[in-house]
Amino acid sequence: MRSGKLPLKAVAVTIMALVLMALSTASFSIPVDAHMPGAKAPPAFELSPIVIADDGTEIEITIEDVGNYHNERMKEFKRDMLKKQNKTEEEIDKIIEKEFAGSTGICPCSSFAFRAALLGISELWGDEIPERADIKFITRRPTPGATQCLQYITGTGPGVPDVKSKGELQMILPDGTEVTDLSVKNLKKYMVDMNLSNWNIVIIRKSTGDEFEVQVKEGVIPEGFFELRKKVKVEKTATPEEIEEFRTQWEAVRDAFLTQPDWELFEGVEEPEGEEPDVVGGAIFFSILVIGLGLLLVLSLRVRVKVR
Amino acid sequence: MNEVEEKFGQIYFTILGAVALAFGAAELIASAGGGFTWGILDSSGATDPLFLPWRAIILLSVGFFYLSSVKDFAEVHQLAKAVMASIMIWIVAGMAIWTRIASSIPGEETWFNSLEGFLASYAPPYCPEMFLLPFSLVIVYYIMKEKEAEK
Repeated sequence: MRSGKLPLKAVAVTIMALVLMALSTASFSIPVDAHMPGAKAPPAFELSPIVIADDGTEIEITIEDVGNYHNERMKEFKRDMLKKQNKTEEEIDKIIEKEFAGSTGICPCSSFAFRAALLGISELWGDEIPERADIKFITRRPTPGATQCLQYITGTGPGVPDVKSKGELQMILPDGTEVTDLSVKNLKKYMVDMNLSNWNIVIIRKSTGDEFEVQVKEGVIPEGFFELRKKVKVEKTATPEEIEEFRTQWEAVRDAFLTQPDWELFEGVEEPEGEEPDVVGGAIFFSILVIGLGLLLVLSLRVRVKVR
Repeated sequence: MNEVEEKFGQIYFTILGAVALAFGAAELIASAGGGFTWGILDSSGATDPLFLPWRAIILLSVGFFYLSSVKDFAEVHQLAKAVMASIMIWIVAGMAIWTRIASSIPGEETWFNSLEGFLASYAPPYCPEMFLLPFSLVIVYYIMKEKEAEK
């Protein structure tokens, strides 16, 4: 009669095969595009939406809305590129499905732009809800993620839903170059050499002329990020280890913009003063607790002695 | 247990039961609206919002048990109800105190908290069970009285 147990050899071979498959998958060089295939999902975060008014209608714009918009624009761009390469619709659908699987569009650029806009709007309008038409952004960041985030908020991007009035978006690079064509294809050529000065957005309240500049702090972007990025995305000469290192840094930058407070991310933002800790109240309770536990111990020891 | 002790127990646990019921009702209403904090009383469920309605139900049960135990208080089954109500308070209050002790030791970014941070961890506000805890310990006297009576 056959034993119900699996033969040990078969189990060992199956486990080895699974391990080898996992290792081989990890060692493939993963093509890196505008998004980061293989990037881990961000940690749990809580970001309040940007609330604006569009011709009297209140609109809440979440980071997820921005991410979805960015994702859709990038899919469109990819689709157009693949069409030019004479791919069939079926092939295009398959490639896009594979490349954008699990992608949320929440990348370092879109999350930076969202945080910058959120901060700028709260600084310039306080508790008031700004009219979309009263908002102007001057961005120094020529990347699709940041640009499309700001296009979504101002209503100036293609395919932004329910736009009744529009704000203004201007791109002026740190060297003074004004970029008027904000299409993904055109932005690519300005993305070659970027540095910390590109992580900068100026928010303007058009009706009053007040402006607020948001500049990312030096420590937020890891050392070597810009050089690695150029190797991975522009020159495409990165080794698998460098690609992996860049992916880790990419995730860290994205997560920073999703989770860290404004004063840790941006220049010129002061940490709010926290409440004074109630040390006296805590000391009183702690003393009562210690005395109470002491009395309980003494009582239980006395009871034990009596019993004996 | 003599008559005076029984009378005292009846009055004492009636008041305690009523207070526990009031706290329970307040927490139940508060849990529908996200909780509240009033001075040093905390019914906001800030640390564990999902536990707030359960705490309310526990407090209501504690109140009912105390109140139902006051008739013929000296009778062992009635005393057992009061003991059970007290144990329920000890468990919830014990959990709250243990949470404070455990969270007072590590610092926010360091292994150990500063002295200031350690003591501040024990600062108010406190949940209703922590207020009821010392008053619920009176039942220990009656337990010891019952033990002596058995001997």
